[in-house]
Amino acid sequence: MRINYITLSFVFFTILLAMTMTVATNSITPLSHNGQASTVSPVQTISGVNRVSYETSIKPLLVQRCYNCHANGTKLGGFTLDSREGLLTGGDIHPVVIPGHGSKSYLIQIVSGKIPGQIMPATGARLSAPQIALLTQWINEGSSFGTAKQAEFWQAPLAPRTPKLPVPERGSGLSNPIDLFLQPYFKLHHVNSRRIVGNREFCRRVSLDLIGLLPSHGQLSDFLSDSHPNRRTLLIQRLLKENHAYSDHWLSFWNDMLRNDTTGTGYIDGGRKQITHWLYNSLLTNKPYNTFVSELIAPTPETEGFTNGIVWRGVVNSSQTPSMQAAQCISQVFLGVNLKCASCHDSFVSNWKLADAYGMASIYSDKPLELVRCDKPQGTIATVHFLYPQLGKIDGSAPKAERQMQLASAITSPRDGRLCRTLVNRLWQRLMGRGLIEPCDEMDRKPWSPDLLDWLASDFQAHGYDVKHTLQLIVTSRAYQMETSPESSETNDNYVFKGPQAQRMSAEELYDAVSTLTNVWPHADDPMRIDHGKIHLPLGERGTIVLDTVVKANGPKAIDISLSGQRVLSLGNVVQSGTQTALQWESPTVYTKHGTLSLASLSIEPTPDSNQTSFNSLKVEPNKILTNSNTIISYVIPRNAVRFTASVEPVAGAPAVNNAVTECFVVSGDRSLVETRAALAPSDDLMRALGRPNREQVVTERQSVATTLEALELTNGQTLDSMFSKGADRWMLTKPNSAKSLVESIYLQSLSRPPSAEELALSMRMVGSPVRKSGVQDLLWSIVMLPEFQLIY
Amino acid sequence: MPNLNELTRRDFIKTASAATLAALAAGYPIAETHAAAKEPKIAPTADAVIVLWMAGGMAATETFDPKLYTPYTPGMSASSVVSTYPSIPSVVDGTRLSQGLENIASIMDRAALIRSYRAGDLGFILHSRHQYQWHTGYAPPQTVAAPHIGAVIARTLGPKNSSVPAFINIGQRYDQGEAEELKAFTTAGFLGSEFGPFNLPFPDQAVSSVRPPMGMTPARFENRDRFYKKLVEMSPINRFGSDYQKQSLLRSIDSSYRLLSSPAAKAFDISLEPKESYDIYNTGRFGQGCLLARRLIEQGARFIEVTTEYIPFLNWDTHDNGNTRTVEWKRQIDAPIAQLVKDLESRGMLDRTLIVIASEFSRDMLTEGKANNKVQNQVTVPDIINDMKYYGMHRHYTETGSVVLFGGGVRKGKLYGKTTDERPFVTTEKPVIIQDLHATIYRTLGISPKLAYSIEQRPFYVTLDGKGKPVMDVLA
Repeated sequence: MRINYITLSFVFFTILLAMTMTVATNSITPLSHNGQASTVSPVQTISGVNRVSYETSIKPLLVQRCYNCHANGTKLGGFTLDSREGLLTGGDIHPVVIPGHGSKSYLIQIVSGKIPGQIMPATGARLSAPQIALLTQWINEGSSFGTAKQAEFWQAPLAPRTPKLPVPERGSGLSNPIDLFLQPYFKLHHVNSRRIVGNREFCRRVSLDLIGLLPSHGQLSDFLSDSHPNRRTLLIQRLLKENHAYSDHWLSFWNDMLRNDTTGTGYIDGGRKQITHWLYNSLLTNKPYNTFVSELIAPTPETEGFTNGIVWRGVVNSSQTPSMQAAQCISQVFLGVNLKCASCHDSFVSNWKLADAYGMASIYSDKPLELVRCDKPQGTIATVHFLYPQLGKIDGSAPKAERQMQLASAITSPRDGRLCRTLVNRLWQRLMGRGLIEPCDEMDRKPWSPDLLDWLASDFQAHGYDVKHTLQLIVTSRAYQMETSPESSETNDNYVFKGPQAQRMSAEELYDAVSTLTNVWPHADDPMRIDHGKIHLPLGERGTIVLDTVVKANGPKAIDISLSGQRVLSLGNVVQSGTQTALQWESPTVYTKHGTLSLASLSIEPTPDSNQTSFNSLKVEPNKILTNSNTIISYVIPRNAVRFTASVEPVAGAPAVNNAVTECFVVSGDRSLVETRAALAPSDDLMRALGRPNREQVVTERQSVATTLEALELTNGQTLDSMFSKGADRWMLTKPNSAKSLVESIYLQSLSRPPSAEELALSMRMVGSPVRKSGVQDLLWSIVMLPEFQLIY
Repeated sequence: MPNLNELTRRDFIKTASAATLAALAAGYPIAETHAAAKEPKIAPTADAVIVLWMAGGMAATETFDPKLYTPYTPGMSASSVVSTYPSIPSVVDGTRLSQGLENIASIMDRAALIRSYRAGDLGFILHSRHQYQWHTGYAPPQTVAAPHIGAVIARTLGPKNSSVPAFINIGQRYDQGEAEELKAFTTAGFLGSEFGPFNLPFPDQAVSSVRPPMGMTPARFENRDRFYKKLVEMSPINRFGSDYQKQSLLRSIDSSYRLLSSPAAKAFDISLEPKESYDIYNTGRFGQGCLLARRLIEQGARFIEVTTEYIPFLNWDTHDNGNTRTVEWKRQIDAPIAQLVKDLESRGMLDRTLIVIASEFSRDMLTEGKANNKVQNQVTVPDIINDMKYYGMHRHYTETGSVVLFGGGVRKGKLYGKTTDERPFVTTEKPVIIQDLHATIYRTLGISPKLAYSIEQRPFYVTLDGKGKPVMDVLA
C-alpha cells in the first residue's frame, strides 16, 4: 500500500504533537531566477507617495542583471552603474537615462526590446514587465541613487530611553511595570486580557522556562500546598536560586549564540576553542551582562574562542576570515545587526556598507585589511571603526588588545541602548514565545511596544545588567501568567501582542524531561574523572574534594569525614608514582541520625567510562571496598547522612607498595558527578533529531517544527527506546505493588497533574495487573508523545 | 479530580493545527511557481538521482582516465609513474578504463564520462572541506548553514513517492575521523531538518530504521498505537479541539502505524533480494549500498547517496600502498555499479534515474594540489621507489578528475573533456567545476541553477551565486 507522504508527514506533525509552536515562521521562500524577486513587486503609485526605493527595488535588479558588464570598473559600451554620474553620462553613444522621462530613456527602450536588433540584458531572460515598470517609475521619479548619508532603511534609535510608567487603572491591582505598559496597549488594540493560568500549569511552565526542568512530584505538591499569598513569586525566587539548574538550562541558549560546543568543525586542526568553562561559571554567578559582554569582546585566553571563530584548514574567502567572523558574530549576537551581507558588498537590505564590516573586522585583525568586494580587492584599506562611532572611537593605530578594549567599552557604554534592548528582547522571546521585535536578530525593526522595550532595557541597565532581575520581572508579570494565546503568523509590523504563546520544548528540554521521567540521564562531556593524576571535578565545580591524602604501606589510615545533605560519595585511587596499587577501604560506614550503614551495601553510581565491569571484577565484600589504581567508585548515600568513616590501606600482598605513592580521594556531591543534563552531554542522534544544532553558525532560534525524520527517531530510535526500557524498570522498583499508584505517579511527574478517571482506568489496563514492564514502557512512550507533554503551554 | 479546564488550550490547539498545515504546505514547494520566473521551464529528463560517492579522493589515472602503465620495478623513479595498471578497452571505441573496471567498461555505452572535473582551490587540503564544497556547492565556512544537494532536491521537488524519504544517505558513519566536518554538510542546513538526510550507515541493517523498536512485536506495536490514540483523545489539551482535528489525529496515527509496518518497508531489507542478485552486489558495504539504492529507487526514492565511506587514510584515501589498495576498491565498486545500471535499465527505470560517480578530487604520485598551484604536502614520496608501499597515487590532486554519469537523460557513450597524458596533468579541454556539475544534475531534474532560497533576506542560490552552467554536451 502506498502512503501519501503528505498525509504521512501530517501524521507526524500531529502525532508529534501538533507541536509546532513557532512554526509558521518558515521564512525561507523560493525566489525567482532573478533572485530578489520579492523586491520586484510593483509599487503602489495611486497616491504618488510610494516612491520606488533604489536600495530595495532597483539596486538588487541592477546587481543581478547589469553589474557583470557595467559595474565594479567594467564599462562595456562605456556605460557604468558605479555612480549616478556614470548613469547620467551614459554610454559611448547614447545617454542611457533621462531623469523624469522613463519611457523615453534608452535604458527602458533597450530592455523592452524596442531597439531593433538590440536587447539588454545581453544574456539570460528578458526583464519582466513588472521589472521594466519599476525601472520606468524609478527614472520618472528622478532616478535617484541611494546615498549613505541619506539612510534608506529605518534605523532604531541608539540611546537608552526610560519612558514614564503608565498609571494603573483604578482597581486594576496591577503593579508590575510590564502590566502597566500593557494595560493601555491592550485597550488601544482592543485585546481582552486573558485568564491567569492555574497553579499546576504555572508551576510547570515557570520551571521549564527558568531552569528547563519539569517540576518533580514533590516540588509540585509543595507548591500546591503552600498557602502563602505570594507563593508564585516565592517559587520564582527559589528557581532562580537553583544556580546549577539555571546554568544547565541557559547554557544551551548561549552555546547556540556563541557557537560554543565541545565538538564541532574546526577542532580537528586546532581552529576552534571552547569557552565552556568561562561561560558556565558566568551563568553560575549571574555575571552582570556588561561584564559578560566585555569579557567576550576584549577576550582573555578563557573567552577568546568566541572571537577567534571557526577556522577550517586551507585558504578562506575574505568575507569569512576569523576577524570578519568576529565582526559578524558580535554584531548579530549583541546588537541585532546583520553584517553578513556587508562583508561581501554594501548591503541591499540595510544601511551597512562593505567599509563598515571591514572597519569592524579590522579591530580583530593583526594587520590592516584591504576592502574586498565580491572577491575583488578594491585597493582601499579599511578605516578601523565601530558601527556606532558615537559610542566610542577605536584608535586604529593602537595595538589589537587595546582596540578590543575600546570596542568593549563602546558596546557596553551606558549610552548604548541597543545592547540592552537586544538582550531583553531575546529574553522576552524565550519566555513569551515571540519577541517584542521579530526576528530577534534584526533590531532595526519596530517593536510592537517601543515604550515597553525601552523601559525593560533601561530597567535592566539600571539594575546592574542583572539578567535574573529581568527574568524575574517578566515571569512575575500578569502578562506572563496569562493563558497562552494562539500563535500568530503576522509579520513584525502587523503583530499585536495578546499574551504568551505556547512553545515546543527544545531538544535539551525534551531530553531532560524524559530523563526526569525515566531517571536515565546522559553522561557528561566533562564528568568527574582522574586526569593527569588528579581528580577532575565536573563543569561548574559540582562536588567537593573532602579528602586528599597519600596512603602508604605502613598501616591503615583512618578517615573521618562529616557530611550534610550530599547525594553521592565517591572514593578515588590515584597513583602518583611507582607501581599501581589497589586500595582497600575497610569498614566504610555512613552515619545517619538513625544509625549506620555500610557504604558497600548502597547502590553504585555510574562511573566516567561506565566501566562497571572493572568494579565487578573486584571482590566487593560486605564491609570492604576495593578501588583499583586510577579509578573512582561512587555510591548513592542517604540525604540525611552526617558522617563517613573508613580505614584505608594498600591491598595486602600488592607488589612493591613501598615505593608507590598512592593518593586516596573522597569527593562528595549533591548530585551525580557523572550523569548530567542534555546540555552538558555530547550531542547524540536523538538530540540532533530534536534540533540541537551543530553550532557552525550562530543560532538564535531553534526550529520548532516537528519533522518526519524526528518522528521516526522518536518512534523507533534506540536511545529513547532504551531510556523507556530502563525507566520502566525503575518505576516498577519504586511502585511494585499498585498499578493505580504507579499510573498516578507517572502522570504527576510527566504532566504535572493526576490522571482523569478514564485515563487512569485505561492506563491501568495498559500496565496490567500484575504490572508488566512492557506496559509501563509503552505508557511512558505514549505520554511523552502527547502534545501536552512536549509543549510548554 | 483535577480541573481539566485549567489545562485547556482551545485556541492553541486550533492554531497549532492550522500552523501544522501551513508548515506542511510550505514544506513542499515547487521551484518554478514564482510569477517573476520568466526563464523557460526546463523539461526534466530524470526524476531521481543516485550519487555514488568515491570518498577520500579517487585517482582518475587509476580508474576512469588511465595513462601510460608503468609497472613496478624496484629502483624506479617516482616521476616516471603515471598509472599503475594497464588500461582496458571499454565498449565505447576509444574510451579506455583502468584494469579492474571490466564490468563498468562493458556498460560505458550508457554513460557520459567527464574527464575534466576540476576541484576547488582551497589551499592546504582537508578532505571534508572539499566534500563540503562538492555536496553544497559552497566552501566552508559559510555565514548560513548551506544545504546538501540532496536536501535542495528534497526541498525543491519533494519526495517522489510518499512512503520513501526524499533524501537517503547510505554507508557513512558519523563517529569516525572528521565526523564533525562531515555532519556540517550532511544536512539540510537552513532549509530545515524536514529535508535532511535519512542516514543508513549499514545497508544490511537499514530495515531496522523503518521497523518498530527492537524487540517489539507487531502486536505490541499495534496495541501501543491504539492506546496512544485513546490517550490523545482523552488528553484535556485535545478535548476541545474540533472534530476535524480529532479526525486528523486519528488518521495520522493510522498512517504512522502503517509506515512502520508497511510492505513498502520491505524495500529496506536487502536480505529479501534473491541470492543470485544479492551475491553480485555483495562486494562489501558499498556493494550492499548499491543494492539498497536500487531497491529504494524501485520504490520511488528521490535522492540517494551511496558512499564508499570516508574514513581518513582508509578506502580511497590512499596515503600508502595505493596500487594494492586500489585493486580492492575497484573490486568493491565494479560489479555493483554495473549491476545497478543494468538492473535499472532492465526495469525501464534507467532513463529517469541519473547516476553520478564522483569524488572530492583525484590523486597523483607527485603533486599535491594543482600543477600550477601546489599546496603543502601531506605524504612523503621518495624520488626512487624501492618498496611497493610507495607505488601508487598518494597525494591529493585537484586539477584533473573524472565524473561518470549514467541514465537520466545523459548522452550515451559521450566522452567529455581532456587531460594531458604526461605531467603536469592539466585539463586541456572544457574544464568542469562544481557549480557546472551541479547545474548539470539540476538540469536533468528540471531545476534552474539560478533557483534561490531566501535566508536572512539574502538569496541563497542552488549553485554558487546562481552561476552554474549545465554541461549541455553530456546531455542528450
